[in-house]
Amino acid sequence: MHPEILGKRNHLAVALAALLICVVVAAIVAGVAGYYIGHSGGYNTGYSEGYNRGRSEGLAAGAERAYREGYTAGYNIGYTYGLSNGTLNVAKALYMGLKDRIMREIVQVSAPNLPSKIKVGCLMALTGELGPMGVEIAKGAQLAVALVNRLGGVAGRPVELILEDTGTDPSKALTACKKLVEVDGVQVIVGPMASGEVMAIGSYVNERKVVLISPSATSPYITLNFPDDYVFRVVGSDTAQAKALVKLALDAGCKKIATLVLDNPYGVGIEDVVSSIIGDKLVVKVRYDPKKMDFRTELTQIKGAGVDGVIYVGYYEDGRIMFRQALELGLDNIKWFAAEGVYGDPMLVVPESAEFMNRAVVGTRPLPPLVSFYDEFLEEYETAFGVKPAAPYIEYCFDATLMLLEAIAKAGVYDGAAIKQKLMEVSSSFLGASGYKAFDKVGDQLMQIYSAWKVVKEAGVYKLIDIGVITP
Amino acid sequence: MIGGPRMLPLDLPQIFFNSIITGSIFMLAAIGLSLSYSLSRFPNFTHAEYITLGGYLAYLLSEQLGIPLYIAFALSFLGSGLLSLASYTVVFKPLQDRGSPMIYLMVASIGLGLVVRHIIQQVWGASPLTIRVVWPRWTLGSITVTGLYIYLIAVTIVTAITLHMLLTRTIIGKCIRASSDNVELAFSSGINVSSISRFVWFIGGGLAGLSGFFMVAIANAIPLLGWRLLIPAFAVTILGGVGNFYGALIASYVIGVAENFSVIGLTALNLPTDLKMMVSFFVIVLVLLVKPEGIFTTFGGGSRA
Repeated sequence: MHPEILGKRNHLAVALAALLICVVVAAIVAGVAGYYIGHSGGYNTGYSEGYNRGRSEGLAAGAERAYREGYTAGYNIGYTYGLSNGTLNVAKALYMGLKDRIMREIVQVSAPNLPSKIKVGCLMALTGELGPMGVEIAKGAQLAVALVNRLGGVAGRPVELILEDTGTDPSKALTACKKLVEVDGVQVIVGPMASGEVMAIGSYVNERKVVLISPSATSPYITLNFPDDYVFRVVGSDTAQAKALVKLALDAGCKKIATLVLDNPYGVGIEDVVSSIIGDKLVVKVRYDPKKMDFRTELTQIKGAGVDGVIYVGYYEDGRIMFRQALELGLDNIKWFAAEGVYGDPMLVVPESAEFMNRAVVGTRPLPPLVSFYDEFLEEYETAFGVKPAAPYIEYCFDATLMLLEAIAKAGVYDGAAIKQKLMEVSSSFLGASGYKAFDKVGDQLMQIYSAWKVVKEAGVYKLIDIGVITP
Repeated sequence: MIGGPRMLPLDLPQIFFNSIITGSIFMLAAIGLSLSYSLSRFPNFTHAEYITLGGYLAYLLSEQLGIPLYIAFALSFLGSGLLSLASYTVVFKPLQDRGSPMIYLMVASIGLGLVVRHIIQQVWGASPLTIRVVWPRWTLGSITVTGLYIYLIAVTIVTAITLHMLLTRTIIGKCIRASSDNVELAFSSGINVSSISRFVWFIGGGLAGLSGFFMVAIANAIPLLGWRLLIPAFAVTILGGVGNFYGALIASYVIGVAENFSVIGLTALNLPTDLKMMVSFFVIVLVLLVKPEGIFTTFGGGSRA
């Protein structure tokens, strides 16, 4: 078992601790000292009771209703009133919104030692497989920089965003990163998008003490390769999602489990974490090529192994074929647990795939932000670009950029090591467009809540519904 | 963590059945390649696009136009056959008449294939497309079969018997075998080699279209559909001996079995199953090193001189 996995067991405790600090500040500022006791008590009791009840009665017994009750009680009372509302209230008590936060924490600060211009590097896949998405995500950083400049800059200094293309290629990402650091002299970078790219440049930015925040890289390998370093991300690690999948499987009473994953860092990353948690209960591991459209013998092997649960990681294209062939082979009498790669309506287009999911699959996905300043971001975005955001992770990129600028303003010097220290402090109270962004000690998201989903058939139409919430 | 290699209980009948399905697809994809290779003496890479076109025609007709599947099946055969015939008549035949060496023809076939593939991609897009037909499913002992697989196996059996009768019992079959054995000799004996070639290209392309039809029914339609089947198809052609119909028949199922059984070994060794595609490459290299004329030459049929 990896130490950081053990460490994450304490997430809730650390989250609470962080929250307490926030709340104390809020109390001073807003004059609501009594808030703490009520909120903390309500959170603990409501959340744990509801959650435990949901967990013990819910999935194991297959009783959706019980789980739903657990979900509603635990989730609403605990999560919403406790953390989210707490954080929101803190944030609202402290700030009137994002622009207010920018004014008070970035613009109206005194920092005589900052250079006359603040450079922010930005590494995005503008070409290659992720090109169409990268062009959109880069707009998040552009918007953040434009907004800060419009409001007055970092401590009065204008911000310059230097955008470089990674071509969806780890080696090109490293070249582009070196250009930003050596030629342009940046100390902070937003991006890159893909886990492979982050892994390729991680040791370089550590060596040069340049702070990097990825908006969208989820592989657990990023944490394993670079703990306690200059690499951060504002999206949850799949380590947490793998734990959520294992929790679902064990709660459902599975004794012998198979993993069936894409042969890439996303799939193998989750397989590794699952393997390290459940050990001997994992009796067969299959890694497959998503391009091959014939998975029958892989599935026959899993069927032959006599497992009672399958943890599955795939994308839409291969997932639909996989589920269809699994239905053909009668694997719908085994419980399947799927990661978020197969969550979405395209999976339901093929009737056999939809029917299989309806019969056998429960899945996980990161819960979208419940409480955030997203509306304010959306308004700014539409004003600036005239359209709605057209890709996921744009608001994550926006938040990452603002967090870096705030850390620079707080550090008072344009130096990676100093900025990194302040970044942890900034994150603990940062409520942005993509939600609450606190980092844990290795630079991953402290709070990532996952929801459990399944497919139901109502009046002949298949649809995806959420059935519960899982905190890994 | 899982320890060393570990064998799982095997469901042999099901794995054999899976192998037959894989082998049947390979057979439909490879027969045309093998026969046209033996007559025209070059490896035709455009063959991949006959497969792809057949698959997209299946999608167009049954999903977009709502035509019954058995008519879509016939039109897939016809469409791919005509594309094959056209590519031979318009591109490869004129090049051959000009005395182009094999390498020119091969490169031309790669180029033509790219053109066809990108036209298909422009028309239908690069995203995967699926036919929404739900097939009945039966369980026979430990084997699960669906209507689609029975359909596929029936088509393969009918194809094999028809081609066998065609090659052995008809004049045109004798002409095909003669031309395949020795084009010059056949030509000087008065056989119209051009007509024979056109016929073979049409039938071969049509069968490739059927393999595309079944691939789309089993999985989905993507522009690279045929390209991904081409390597196993070449492996079948080489293992069975170029132009050897019976060799190709057996080789299809040999590679089908090898591919599916390699999955057992790969999962036991905790290796990714992507590597099962290596089986085809391995067969190609091994046969070319050891017995370049193919290992089934003793089966007779239309093997080359």
